[in-house]
Amino acid sequence: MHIIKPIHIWAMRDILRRPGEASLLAAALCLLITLSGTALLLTQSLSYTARKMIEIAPSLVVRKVGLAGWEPIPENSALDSAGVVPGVAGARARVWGLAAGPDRAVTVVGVVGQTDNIASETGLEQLPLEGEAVIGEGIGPLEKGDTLQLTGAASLVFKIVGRFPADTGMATHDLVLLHKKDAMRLLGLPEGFASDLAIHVFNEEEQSAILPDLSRAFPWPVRVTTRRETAGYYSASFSKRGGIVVIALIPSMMALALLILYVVRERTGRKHEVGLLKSMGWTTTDIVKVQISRSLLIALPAAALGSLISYILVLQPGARWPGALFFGWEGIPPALHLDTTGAVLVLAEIACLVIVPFLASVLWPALKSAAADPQDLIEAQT
Amino acid sequence: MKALSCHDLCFSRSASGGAEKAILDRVNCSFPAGEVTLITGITGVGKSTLLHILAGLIRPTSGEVRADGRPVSRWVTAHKDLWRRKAGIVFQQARLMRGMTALENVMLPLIPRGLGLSQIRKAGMASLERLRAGHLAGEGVSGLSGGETQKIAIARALAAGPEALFADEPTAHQDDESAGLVLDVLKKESQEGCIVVIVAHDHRILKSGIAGRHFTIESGRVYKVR
Repeated sequence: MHIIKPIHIWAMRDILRRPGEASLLAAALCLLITLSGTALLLTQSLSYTARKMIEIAPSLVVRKVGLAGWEPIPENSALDSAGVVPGVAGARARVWGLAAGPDRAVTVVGVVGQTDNIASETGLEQLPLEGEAVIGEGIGPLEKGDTLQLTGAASLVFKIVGRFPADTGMATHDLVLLHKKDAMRLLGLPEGFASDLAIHVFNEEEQSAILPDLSRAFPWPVRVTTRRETAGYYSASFSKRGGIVVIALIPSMMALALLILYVVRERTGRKHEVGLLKSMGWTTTDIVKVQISRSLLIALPAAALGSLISYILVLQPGARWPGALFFGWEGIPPALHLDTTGAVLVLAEIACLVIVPFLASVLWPALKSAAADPQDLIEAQT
Repeated sequence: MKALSCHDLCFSRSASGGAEKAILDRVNCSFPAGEVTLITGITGVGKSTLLHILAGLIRPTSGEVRADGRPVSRWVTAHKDLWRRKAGIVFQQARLMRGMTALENVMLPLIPRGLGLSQIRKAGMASLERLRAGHLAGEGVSGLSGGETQKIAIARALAAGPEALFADEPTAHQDDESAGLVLDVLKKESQEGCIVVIVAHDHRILKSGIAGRHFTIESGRVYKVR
């Protein structure tokens, strides 16, 4: 049994009767899907990338606070204090902070040996020795062997020995990985001090429960941040950005409304053809089948192309303009990622926003004329 | 199908000023298979309207059309759609689909009937050949003459092998030779058991003696001439 029936071939032939009109319609749909798909993909992939980033973050972060704000934390004393708190599985002192890079501020992280999990989480093969640096994608077009000057408490020059793999995305985007000693000098941390303490707990559900014990365990005032709080911060940030995207979608939706209006008018204007087909023994079902086939022949390639373009615009590493347009990002944007669920969700949203209204606009006139007498439709010449 | 018949068939239209104007008034007549029926009358008297009602293209205001005793004019849309598959219609103005070839136009009634494309094409070509219009198969219909267009419309009505054929002025744009051909085709169709109803002004049809029955319409009423 043939899948392609004469009725489908007729649908194709009907498109070819007005090739210019069909091409314009497909182009308009493709453009609409590209615009809305880009906005939706950007939101979805940002959310996914951030979620992945939060997943590798420590359960709790402890920072010492003083009258002037954050203060360096005494490493050994802090590790000892955290280690005795019930529920704590492990603690790690981290050296990190901000420094001025060639174009903008960068995040500096200091590591030594394999003590930091950044190597395993980013797939980095070589950790920097003293005087060396490993950089993220957003630092600039620097190659292995180039030098990088960073300024903080001191101004230091590093030899670049590697870059983070491109697929590590947002987590390493503006990161400069240095040897711990270099990072401490750059950030002005005294010997034996760290920036904060990363705490891992036995049970993620106990994050909040051990907070009071943890705060009391240190001999100085501390601020403890849970992973949930970090996630909440990102969530609020993305809700705000999601709002911006929704506003950006308004013109697309207005264009879609105009397109639908045009399709309804065009279909209504061809009532006489429907009447003629009915006079020749075509049933309403046959006519609806042709209309659906015709519309899908136009809409599916347009949707596929529009989705592909928006995918390339958002998820191709180095794609600059969506981030700059929607969120005002400057410089090289972070590489974004999307999981299968997110991709399916975006496709479903595109289908609901664009394809379904388009198909409805085609079907509505056909169904509306279903009960009419063929001669009345034939006489409805435009 | 053995016969079509009209029973107290009335049809009226809204005239200017909102009043109803009766086009057909209590029409009672029958159209048997195997015989060509001719309907004549002056312009605007309701000949085409009667033809359209018989072909199931419009509903009568009252009364009914019966096919072998079944009230087809009262059927719901879904059944009526299928009933129209048994009928072939030739409109007064050929009403071909523009932007398509002659053969594609002739193939149209066959497309939703579950046949393969090659069968449809073959049937379409055969129908064109009957009207000696096979050479026009690949021509776009916009460039055809009035007579050629009319032949394509007749070929389209015949393509699906209708049980009832309704033709509105089928020879209006034909020269004598082509008119003779068209009438021969219609007569042969009738002899093969099809109900053939022709509406015409053309005296050549009357003179040809093709019609076994002849009705005329005056003031909305149908009178039997022969």
